[in-house]
Amino acid sequence: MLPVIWTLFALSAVGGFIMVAAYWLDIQDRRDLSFRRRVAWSAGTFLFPLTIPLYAFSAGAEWPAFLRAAAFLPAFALVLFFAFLFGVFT
Amino acid sequence: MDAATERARRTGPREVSVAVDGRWRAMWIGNRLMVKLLFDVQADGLELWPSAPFCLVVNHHNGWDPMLVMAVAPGSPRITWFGPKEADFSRGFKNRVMAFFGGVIPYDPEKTTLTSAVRSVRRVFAAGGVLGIFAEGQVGFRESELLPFEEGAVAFSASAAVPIVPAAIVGSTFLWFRRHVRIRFGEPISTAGERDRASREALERRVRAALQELLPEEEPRLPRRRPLRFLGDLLTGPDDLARRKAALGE
Repeated sequence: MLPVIWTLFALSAVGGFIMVAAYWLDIQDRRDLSFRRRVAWSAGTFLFPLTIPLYAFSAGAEWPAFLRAAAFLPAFALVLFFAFLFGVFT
Repeated sequence: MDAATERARRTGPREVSVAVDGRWRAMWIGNRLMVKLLFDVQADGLELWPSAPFCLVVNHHNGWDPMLVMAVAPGSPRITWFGPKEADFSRGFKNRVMAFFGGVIPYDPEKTTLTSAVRSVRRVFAAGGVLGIFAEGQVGFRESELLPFEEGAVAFSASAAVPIVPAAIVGSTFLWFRRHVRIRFGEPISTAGERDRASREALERRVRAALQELLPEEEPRLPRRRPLRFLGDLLTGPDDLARRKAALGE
């Protein structure tokens, strides 16, 4: 079981990094948002496990279903990371 | 590192191979997976391709264009692209990738001799490969119009008497996640016997008309929201982006 979980962790970590970058770059292109909102969403990168899904499902982002699903990857990777850290998988 | 390898790293591959080897297969599969994940690419008229060698004459809107064409083209015959104006293939991610996988004939009128470029093109045709060439020689910003053609595409094909396949990429001027891009291939145009200047000019007009026919009649309307719009500018050079900004007043 452990090799499967490690593989899942590795894939979701890589995917998570890509999603953080995609989220940040997409915010920079949002000319329809006010400067303050753009700064706020950009600062939200520090809380990425929450802000990316929130942004993906917010009305303005209009992300397609595939991206919306992928928006949970960073949070999923983080959950697995802490599970490893606290010895849940032994 | 010997002198020849060092020179190849700087100036791009000298020996143009059209062999469908493992490295090419890996690149073709990787490119297909990535492009089809990011964009919704469809091809029309692939069945019109003649047997190789031939010259694929394509319109140009974006740095992604060669990858979009390769994502819908079969793995064999291998396409060799003419014309990236790279000064140093040992610097920058995109240049290093191009140098590693090969399949490009670099040409910059200020730095490359035409003779060496022509020699490479002849090698591609002699080996039964496909030469891909962006006939306009630079990036255009309108989906329904073509810029004036450079001489290369028609001259290379006519001198080797290989057919020209016009191909129009529709929808790549502005790309975003899952953007619908259509690649339309036209009927092959014979170049046999088109040796003198007048007949080459007539041939160029025919190729241009065939390519124009594959383009949409009017500019597509862009949606208000384009998710992951930055994807479209990832592979376009800063000069082209600045020209687009000036031309379209972005």
